Amino acid sequence: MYGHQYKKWGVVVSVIGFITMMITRFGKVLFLKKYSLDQQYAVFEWIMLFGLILVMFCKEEFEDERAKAIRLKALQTAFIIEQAVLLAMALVTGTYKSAGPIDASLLFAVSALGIIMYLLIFHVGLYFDFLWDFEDRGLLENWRNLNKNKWGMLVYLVLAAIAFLIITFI
Amino acid sequence: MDITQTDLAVAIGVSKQTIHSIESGRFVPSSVIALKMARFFNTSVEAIFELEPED
Repeated sequence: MYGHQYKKWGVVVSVIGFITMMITRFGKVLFLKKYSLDQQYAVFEWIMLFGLILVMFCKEEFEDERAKAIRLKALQTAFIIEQAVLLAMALVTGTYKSAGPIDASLLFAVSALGIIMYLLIFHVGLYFDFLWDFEDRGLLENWRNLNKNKWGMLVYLVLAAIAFLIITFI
Repeated sequence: MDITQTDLAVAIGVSKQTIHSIESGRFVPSSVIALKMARFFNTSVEAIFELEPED
């Protein structure tokens, strides 16, 4: 993993990517004259994703065993949610003949969803641990104890839904 | 002993949040961290940690 000092650059790059995506989509401003608006949007999508990936691979200031445990749990949860979304999409596109082919932007959205979910769960778990009743008992045990974690899980699910709606439908 | 969470965190090489999580029982540390804490307080691990009935 990269050092903690690169994390802020990842955040800056992803925020710039997201803002320029929004300007492209809603302001219809063409910064890259060689491309169309849709192509420019895709370029800024990749810039945002690159920033998120950089954040994902940067250590925390104190990368101790608790940070590693929460990172692992965040990866597990994000993986399961991403697989569920992929399977649901496969079910929908396989069931309805009218559904068009899956294009690159949808694949991008699913990939970005997994990364955003991971970063959300990791950072909320690490810095707002009153929301996450952490127990070192594995993912399945924590899912069974949802009545303990319900507020934390509610926050995660709402944030995840907002993130998914933004990257999918804007 | 007049020790803050930050003092202990710096001494054993973890974050302040980790010390807070251990104190509040939300995080079970590894034996390495437990031994470092015991050494810092100049006592035994059993004097700091104990098994809960559900463990």
